[in-house]
Parts: sequence; C-alpha cells; structure tokens
Amino acid sequence: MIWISFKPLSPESRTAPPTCTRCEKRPSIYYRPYSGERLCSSCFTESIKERVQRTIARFEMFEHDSRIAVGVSGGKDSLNLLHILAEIERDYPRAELIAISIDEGIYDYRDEALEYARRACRILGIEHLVLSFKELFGLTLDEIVDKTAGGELKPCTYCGVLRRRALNMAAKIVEADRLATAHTLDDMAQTALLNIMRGDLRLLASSHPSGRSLPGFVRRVKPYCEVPERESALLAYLKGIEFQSFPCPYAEEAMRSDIRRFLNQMEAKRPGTLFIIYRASVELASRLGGGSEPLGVCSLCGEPTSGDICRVCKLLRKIGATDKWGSSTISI
Amino acid sequence: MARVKVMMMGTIGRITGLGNIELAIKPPAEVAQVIHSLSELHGGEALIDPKNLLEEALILINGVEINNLEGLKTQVEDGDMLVIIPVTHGG
Repeated sequence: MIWISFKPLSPESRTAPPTCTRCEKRPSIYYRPYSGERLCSSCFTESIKERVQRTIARFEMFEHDSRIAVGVSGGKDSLNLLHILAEIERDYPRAELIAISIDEGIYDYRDEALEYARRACRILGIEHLVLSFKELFGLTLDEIVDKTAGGELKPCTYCGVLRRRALNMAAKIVEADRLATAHTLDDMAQTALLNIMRGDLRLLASSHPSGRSLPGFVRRVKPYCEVPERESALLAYLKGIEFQSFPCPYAEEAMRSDIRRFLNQMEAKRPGTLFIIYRASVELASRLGGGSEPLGVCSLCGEPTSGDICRVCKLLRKIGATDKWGSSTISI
Repeated sequence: MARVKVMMMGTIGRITGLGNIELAIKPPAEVAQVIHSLSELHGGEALIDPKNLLEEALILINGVEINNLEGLKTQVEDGDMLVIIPVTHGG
C-alpha cells in the first residue's frame, strides 16, 4: 500500500459514459476517434470481427475450402486473429485452420509467447506446428546476434528474412494453400512509410494485403490489416487473452521505431492518418503491379529467388552458416 | 481517502516493476495525477509519462477507456480500478 496525496481539485462528479452509438442500448466503453463511434464491449468486439470478414471478402483472400496456415507468434495480434478466424471458419466447414509458430530462439521473449500460442491452440482445438530457427538454419537468433554484433545489419534484418522463409516452409509442410499473418493497420502504415523512405518501390509493390500466388510460395494474406493495433490491444484485454510481459530484446530497429512514434503522434492529432497511409499504399501497390517475380531457384538451397542466391543464403553466408542450412532436413 | 487499484498489463507491468498496486488518494483527483504518481514511483521515466502513455497505451477506468470519458481529466473515485494496457508488444 502506497499513500499519495493529490492537489485538491474542484469537486465535480464523473459523468457516465454515453450510450453505444451502434446498439443504442448498452453504455459505451470505447471512443473510436477516426469514426466518431462510441461502442459497448460487444459491439466493439463484433465490429472487429466484421472488419476482418470484410477485408477477407474485399481482397478475395480465401476459398470456401482453403487450408489456412495462421502465423501465430503468441502476441496479442496473432492470438486475436486466430480466435476470429476460428469463429469465422465455423461457417465454412470445408475450410481448415492450422496454427504455425516460429521459434526464433530469443530467450524468455519467445518462450513466453509460444506458451500462450500453445495454450490458445489447445483451447480452440487447432493443430499447431512449431519450427525453430535452430532446426531450420542451425542457429538461434540469439546466436546469430552474437555472431553479428557490431555489424552493419541489425537483428531485425536477420529475423525478418529468416522468419519469412521459416513461415513459408512451415506452411508448405502443413500443405496449406494460404498463409495468414496478423499484420495490423499500424504495421501496414509503418511498412509503407519505411519502403517510401528507403526508396524501395519493389517492396512497396509486394506489400499488398491480398498477397500473390507464386511458384514455391504459399500465398500470404493479411486479414487483420485494417485493425489498428490500439484496438487489437483492447480486444485482447476484453477477450482475456494473455499479454506478453517480456519485450523483444532486439525490438529497436531504429527507423521503424522512429516511424512508429511519428505515426502514433500523427494518429493522436489527426485520427485516420493510419488508414489514409494504408489505403494509399494499397492503391500504389496495385498500380505498381505486385513487385518482382522469382525467376529461378537459389543455387545453394533450391528455394525460389529472383537472383542466383536467395536473401536467406546471402545472410547465412555472411555469418558462415550456409553448410548447416544447406544440409538441414525437416521431418515432421 | 479513496482507494484506487492500478493494474499494469504486459510489458508495462514488467518494465516498471509495479504490476498491480493500490493507491490511497485524497479526492478529488484526476487520472493524470494517478499516472504522474506512478511515474514518480517508477523514478520518473518517460515510459509512463502521461503524454507518451496516451499514445502508446490504453487506460481503462472500471472497464471504460478514458478517451470515452474525459481523457486524463477523468475523475477517479473510491474503489476505481485503472488498467493500463501497452499497445505495442512486439511479436
């Protein structure tokens, strides 16, 4: 018990929250600044599910009989998405969901999250495959960070490239025809600005939420891409989803963190900014035509690539780990 | 004195080392003052500076998000439960 005295204020009783603008019955618990809605708990939860359904329909993400691998990190966004997809898929008995998780090997941080992912899959009765960087590439991310300390490339670069490959491999192992990831509206807007600021139009073009069917790749779709991260946090709280307490020790990718802070400030001052950037980036990606196609296969690992050697092998070669990678065999 | 429970979820709870605490306050008081006191308890770090906090976390008072009330100026009363939820968790 800690005792604190506050400066007295003018006595004024707290006003009750307004009625929900959607059901017009229950008291609201959340004010949505970009639309002006005030929502009760159940209308808020329903509105997020409806938004995911609309996103899936608009971008024609799934077929009625899709076998969908859901990338589940164990964070709030992917756990929310897993719950929402499980609910939606009840109406599509021929569709299947399989959870896939990648254990990068980040001490504490990923261990805690994977436990949450396992628990959610048990509760929902969803098959769950966990693959690790160690078994796929011969090294954990912690070991890669040790090897690359002080180098020009940051942990997030290695983690991002390797995780993308690992998710595709896991989706292929479970014979999925879609790979759904829980990128939020914030992720989409941050990535759009990052790609513009780096002048990377190829990446900008390939970040469309509907993904593309390319040989060697399971089509990646982002059904959660219109859900603001703030609302994802509230949804997780309302649903009783566990929150990770360990922050990622490598999370400060300088440029993305700067952009995230900037966008948070802009969104607070000018609600709707995230949606405007996201919509502009989707329009740009559509006009740019989807990015480059892989023309061949990597001469080291055999995965599809547009060059001689894929990005994964280039990175692993930098740290002298291609032997382990080239000979690794995964059997499930 | 009014008793106010504060629950800090996820990374905010771990990083501040505060987790769940109960404060006894002299009414009337606003949410901003509770946050200010938490900052002081934590050593004044920007993590729970009210301005940053509102952009990077959600604050609920008895299950209602404070922007649906009067923001940081929302009055706290005896028996209130404040929940602080970080928005960005990584992963």
